Amino acid sequence: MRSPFRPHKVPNAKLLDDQRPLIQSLERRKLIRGGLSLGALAMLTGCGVKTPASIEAGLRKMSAFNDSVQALIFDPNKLAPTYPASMVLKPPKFNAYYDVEDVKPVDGAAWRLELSGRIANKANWTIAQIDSLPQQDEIIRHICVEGWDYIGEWSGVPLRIFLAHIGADTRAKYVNFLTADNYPSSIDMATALHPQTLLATKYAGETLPAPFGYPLRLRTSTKLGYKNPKWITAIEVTNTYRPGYWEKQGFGWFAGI
Amino acid sequence: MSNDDVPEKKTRLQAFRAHIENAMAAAAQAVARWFSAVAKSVDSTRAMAAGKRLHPLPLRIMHWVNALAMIVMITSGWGIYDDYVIISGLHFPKALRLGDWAAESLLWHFAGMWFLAINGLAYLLYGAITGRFRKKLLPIKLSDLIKTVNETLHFKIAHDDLTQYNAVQKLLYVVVIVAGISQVVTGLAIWKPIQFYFLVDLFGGFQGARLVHFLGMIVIVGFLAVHVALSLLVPSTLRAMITGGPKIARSASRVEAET
Repeated sequence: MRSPFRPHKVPNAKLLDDQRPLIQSLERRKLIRGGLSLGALAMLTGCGVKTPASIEAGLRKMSAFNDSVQALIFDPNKLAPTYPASMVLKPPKFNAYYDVEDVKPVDGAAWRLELSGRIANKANWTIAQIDSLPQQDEIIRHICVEGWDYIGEWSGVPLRIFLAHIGADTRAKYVNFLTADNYPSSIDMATALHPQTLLATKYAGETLPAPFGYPLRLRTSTKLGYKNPKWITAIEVTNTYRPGYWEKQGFGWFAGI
Repeated sequence: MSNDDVPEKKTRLQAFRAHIENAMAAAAQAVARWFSAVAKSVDSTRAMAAGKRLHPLPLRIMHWVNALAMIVMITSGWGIYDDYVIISGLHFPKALRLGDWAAESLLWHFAGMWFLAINGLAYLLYGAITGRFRKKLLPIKLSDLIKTVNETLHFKIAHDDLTQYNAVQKLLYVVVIVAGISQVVTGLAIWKPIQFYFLVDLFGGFQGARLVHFLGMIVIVGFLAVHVALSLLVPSTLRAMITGGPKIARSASRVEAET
């Protein structure tokens, strides 16, 4: 088989002949030596040198340990403080791994929520069907891992009510989400069942605007902002751990607050 | 060979014998010296067992674990801070930050916190139980403070007796210990603002806790600058934190001998 690295167009042989003296003057030994000192220089400046793999692995292990400590600290019955409507930020703060101009609005009429995993009734859901379930309104603080925060008013169906409705196995470990913006996310079952964890459809009493997750997003009062996926398209109840968008890049999975 | 050679041979033989005798005497002396050195070191080991060092071994271990943990926490904290600054325009340069970006800095911070907190707790318990805090850091008298500041301004930095801290030293150590405790408490508040929201309320909200955490860092970095500068100016203090420093008699806190 032809090597995929071989160029499709072979260079003119005359070129090689013209440059022969130069090519002959290149010594492999010199190249290696030069490369080594360049590497040593990079080490010296500390620039562009990645954290060694062994340290990285140790840090990730520590992060996994911290996930289990956080699960222990998490009190499934403790409610996050709520605030008066006068404190609600309108519109909310936009944040994603891309700019707000790059948001691709989802067509609510064509949208369907898909279900998979340890769920008894896996039929798709329309937005009207979700709206017909019991609704809850809460004014809670959003805290981003970067350090900023704001107070927002979210309405929708509590995830625990939705999970009960579809016959989800609530002894499973994880509830995973897929989204229209390719931002997979995953939370622990205890947080999924927390009374303030919503499948939100409204912000400040109005239908969710496109940049904030229309038609359906997750809103949990007990996790950092990046654990609240927007534009949800699929929910899976499972014992299989699937790291989310930021977790794959080194952020912690539990991210409880 | 002539007859004249004989006396010469004799003297050579005598010289050789003298040489051997000298060598043997020197060897005997060396052996004696070695024995006396061993005896002396046994004595000093006994003395060490009887009297405590200024900085006992557990304290020295805790000091250096803390030093490393603090540097990890400060530099990784700078990496986290840069994502959303408190003072607009104040960024910490990449060369000073631990971690290539926020995710890595967070990994370092959340790993380092265990070393800082557990080591710090051990230090507080040690200081309280052994009475070290009471003996070394208290009392801090205002008159002593003024006197020390006055002397320092006149470039009289007295450090003849390492075992006695002056009032400014005492105050600085107390301030940095309180700042360290505050960092752990505000750190917990920022880490778990819902689970521990009583802590967040203590600092006037999430951003308040963040601000106090930031100010605590400034206090500690300020302390670190003075602490390192002084230890380099008076190197015997730095040596003492490695070797243990002068011995202290068991009963009194007087210096027994400088080693």
